[in-house]
Amino acid sequence: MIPLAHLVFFASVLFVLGALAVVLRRNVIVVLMGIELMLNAVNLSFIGFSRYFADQAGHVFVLMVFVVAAVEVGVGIAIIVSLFKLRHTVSIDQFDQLRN
Amino acid sequence: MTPNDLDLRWGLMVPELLVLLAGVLVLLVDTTVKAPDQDRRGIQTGISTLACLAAAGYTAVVLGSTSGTRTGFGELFVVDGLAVWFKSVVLLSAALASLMSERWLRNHRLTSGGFIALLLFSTAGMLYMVSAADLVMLFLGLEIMSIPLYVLAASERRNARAVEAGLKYLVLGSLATGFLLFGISLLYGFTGLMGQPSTCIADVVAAVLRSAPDVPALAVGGGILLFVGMVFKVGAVPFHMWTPDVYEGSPMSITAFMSVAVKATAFAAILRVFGGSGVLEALRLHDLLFALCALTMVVGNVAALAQSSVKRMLAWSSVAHAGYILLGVLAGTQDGLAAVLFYSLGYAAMNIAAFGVLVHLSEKGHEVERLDQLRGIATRVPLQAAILAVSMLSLMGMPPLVGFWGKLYIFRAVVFADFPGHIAIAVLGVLMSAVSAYYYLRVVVVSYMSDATAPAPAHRPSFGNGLATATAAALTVLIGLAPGAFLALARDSAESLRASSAAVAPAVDASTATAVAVSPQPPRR
Amino acid sequence: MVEQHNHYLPVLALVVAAFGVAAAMLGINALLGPKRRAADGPAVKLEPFECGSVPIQLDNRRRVSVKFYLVAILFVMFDLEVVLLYPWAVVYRDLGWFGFAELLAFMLSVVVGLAYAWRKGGLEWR
Repeated sequence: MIPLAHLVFFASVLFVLGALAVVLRRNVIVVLMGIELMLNAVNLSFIGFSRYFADQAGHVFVLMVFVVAAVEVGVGIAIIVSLFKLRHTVSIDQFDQLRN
Repeated sequence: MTPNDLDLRWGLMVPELLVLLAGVLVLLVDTTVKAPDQDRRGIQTGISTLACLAAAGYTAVVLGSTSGTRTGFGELFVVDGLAVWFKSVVLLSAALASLMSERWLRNHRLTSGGFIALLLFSTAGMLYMVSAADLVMLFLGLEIMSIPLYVLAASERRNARAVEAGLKYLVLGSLATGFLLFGISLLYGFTGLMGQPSTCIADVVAAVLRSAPDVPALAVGGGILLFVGMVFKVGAVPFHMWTPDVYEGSPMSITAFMSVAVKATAFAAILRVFGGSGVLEALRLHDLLFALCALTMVVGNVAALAQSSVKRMLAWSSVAHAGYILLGVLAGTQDGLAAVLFYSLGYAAMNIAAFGVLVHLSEKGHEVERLDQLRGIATRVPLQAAILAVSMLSLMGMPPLVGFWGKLYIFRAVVFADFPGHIAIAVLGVLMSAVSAYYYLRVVVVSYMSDATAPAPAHRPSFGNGLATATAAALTVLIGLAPGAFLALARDSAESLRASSAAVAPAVDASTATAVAVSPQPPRR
Repeated sequence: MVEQHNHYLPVLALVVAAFGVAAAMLGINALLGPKRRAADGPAVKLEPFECGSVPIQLDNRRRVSVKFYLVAILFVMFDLEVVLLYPWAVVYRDLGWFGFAELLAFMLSVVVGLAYAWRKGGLEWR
């Protein structure tokens, strides 16, 4: 069995990579992918703990995260599409109208 | 497992179900009732307001009549004093926000079905989050609350600024959700290592307290991530970056709703997880929260000074108020928690009153946002100007109004609390309230002491918005006149938090005391 | 622990071999192949390789119609509802009619969403 520490470490690395993608990438679609990566790291960590402790709560949590992640991305894509129709770009740097 | 094990006490969930059913009904009205848009907007805002008021009434009268903690639905759902208080605040804000929305929707010629339904769904999410007894429920409530708000922020689809606000809220909100979830997963792992894997809030808190003072890094990391995820929704510095932009780009009624109800819900969740005595200290969050409070009060107030847009000024002021309320959490005493509850209600009343006046003054294409658009409104609309002045004075903390009592209770709790630097941060809070007088009074001065420059736009007042504004203003004054009764109620409600955490901790302690000593045995397969 | 490490040796060997083959191919090509920079050579060198024939379309990136997004979003929503059926499928015998009723209520709320999308023209191809 894979040691728990490895699992936590792997999930943490994946999570940090996702967070970095959200913060650093300029393309909104890639930013959404970063969010998905973060949520998948969370799922991995839940499944890992769940298997390790033979407890079902983690599995249930993962199902919920799945659904919510899909809804989030659905709404995200819808907002991006309507913003693209208005601005003709998907670059975060161009979305700066809300600032004095 | 049979239905009986699940303990389905539907009576506890009536407010949530009412609000959800009203949302579905609004959607059905949108697709089936053949009527002019004007009438349909009236029907839908009416349904929404009535449902929220009915749910608030049920919460306050039926659920609030019996004290004590009641759980149901397989230990996922809890109704106690804390839940009843915050549900009432949220439902009241939702009712007022739907009354305010009618005018904005009419100005922008939008059909209201999706808008009102999303408002109701978001409200339902808040209610679930406030009643969460399990981190799964907390997470689901948070998302049911947030996702409709992302759409609502962007509901003016042809305005690039509004859609931009929605996108910013979505991206940063999802980032915060990621933090929150990862924190939960780490805490889940921690409870597993302590011998009893669980996502139940009471179990997690008990496990943390049991391992105090040497809480392992896993739990500390999880606690910090969870805390950051919640503090983001409150809008505390340095997790406030989205606040001014999103508040500025969203429709006025949604800005009011977000600044009030989302904040109250997030505070309820923070209290539910971190409000038990010793939890903040055990997770080493106390110093972090201290720094957050100081930063939030300073940055919020100083940034609000520099704003020329009233809406943006109110956004920064909401950051500052988040700082004051967090002070109550920081104090952590019974008085501090009661002050948090009281302030959430008071802030809801005064902020909605302020936004209501702005909605009243706004016309299509003439959104009142800049300060100079308020010039001389005292002669044009004396009643609205008076309400705006009252709400500004209350936000500032002028004596007989509710804002004064809120700040007084918070600062008093901090002064009497017992942690290093408590006097210093209370002094900082008072100083910062003094600073805030400048930008709040500026609004009053502009509206009373200068002549109108632009001709008044043709005006079509809205009954709904007038009612909402007047109600909020009346609450600002009335709670201010009888603060003692409300504070006593808040204290009772906060009592349940301490009582329930105290009841849970020793019980779990005894049952799993042996499991702690033995190192956990992972199953081998 | 030593035996466990041995399990990974073949994997390591495979990785080394894969990298080796790739490096060898590129290296031999670089050593023996004719060297001519793309800018100096004939324009055909920059064209996509299409097995001897003239490429039909040089720029193959085409924007997908935004209409697909709406359908895709709706699909994802209704696709994921199935995820929530899995836990029920595991325990449906124990839950019996109660679970069935709960599930019907859940499906009904999803159907209301679908009906709304339908009536609002979300399923029209326009």
